[in-house]
Amino acid sequence: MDKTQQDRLDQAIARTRPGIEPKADFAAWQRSHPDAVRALQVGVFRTRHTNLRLAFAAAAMVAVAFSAGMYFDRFITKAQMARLQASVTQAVATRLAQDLQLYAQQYGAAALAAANAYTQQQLAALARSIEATRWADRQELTSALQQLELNRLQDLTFIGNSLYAWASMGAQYTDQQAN
Amino acid sequence: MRTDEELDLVQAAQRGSVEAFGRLYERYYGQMVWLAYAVLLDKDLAEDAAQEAFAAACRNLANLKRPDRFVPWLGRICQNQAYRLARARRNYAGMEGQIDHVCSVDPPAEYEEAVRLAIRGLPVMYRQIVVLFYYDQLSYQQIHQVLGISVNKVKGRLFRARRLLERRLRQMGFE
Repeated sequence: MDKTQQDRLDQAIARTRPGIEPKADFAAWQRSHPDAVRALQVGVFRTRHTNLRLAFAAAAMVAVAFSAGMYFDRFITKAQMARLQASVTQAVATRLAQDLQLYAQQYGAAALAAANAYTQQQLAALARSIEATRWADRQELTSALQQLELNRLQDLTFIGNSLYAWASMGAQYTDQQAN
Repeated sequence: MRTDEELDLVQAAQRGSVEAFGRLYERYYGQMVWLAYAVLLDKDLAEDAAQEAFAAACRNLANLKRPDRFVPWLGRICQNQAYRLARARRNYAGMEGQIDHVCSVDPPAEYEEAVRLAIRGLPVMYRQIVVLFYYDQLSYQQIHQVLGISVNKVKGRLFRARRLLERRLRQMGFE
């Protein structure tokens, strides 16, 4: 497009300008938009209070979030501990059951035999103890009977000797009287 | 256009000054109308969109973090309002197709009318540049401020808009 054509286009565009002559009538606009004017007048106040409210809301949210975080931390810790405890208990129980089963399988028979032998030993010891007690009792009884027999024999000897002495003394006396 | 005075006005309006906002309104109302017109292609709808854009800006001005970006922020609000109105009236969706249909079936006899139709058939991003540059007679710098795009991008879009217009005009039989 050469300069002439461009000028022609520019002039034609300018001639197509619609007959708009915008007239700024602020008073009329104010009358038709009273709420907007009121909003302008209270805008600063509202903004300041909005900022204050936002600050309070933010602080409250931080506090709530912090509290909730603490609570959830504790809750989660407790829950985790409970879960951990349950899992550890379960694992230990399982392991113990396995160990016991293995122990029973490997050493059960030996343990039973050992237990039986021990029991037999204890029973034998008990029997021996009973027998020993009986033997001692019998010994004491025998000793007592022997002592009684010995005492009886001693008493019998003493009585015989006494009677013999008495008889001798009587005979002697009789002789003396006769003489 | 963006001066310390404008920054002061925006900051005063953010502090609740209706008078400062009124001066901003008077300063940028025309640009917002043209910006909305580029989307809506309807004078009354464009004025409605611009007024609603200022109302939305009024309600949210206290939340504007960068007062030095007031104009592109307002322009974006205005474009959104224009798109919303276009969707609501179901004008926007079929507009370009309708224009293409008119161009292909019934070519205009007058060059000026062909240019008007070709402009209406441009994609919105190019039509905005054409409207602001030719109709509102804004400079590249001013368009850059209103649309929030770089000056080079403004120039590039205007160049491509002209090329598209030429192509459309050729299709309608005008060399």
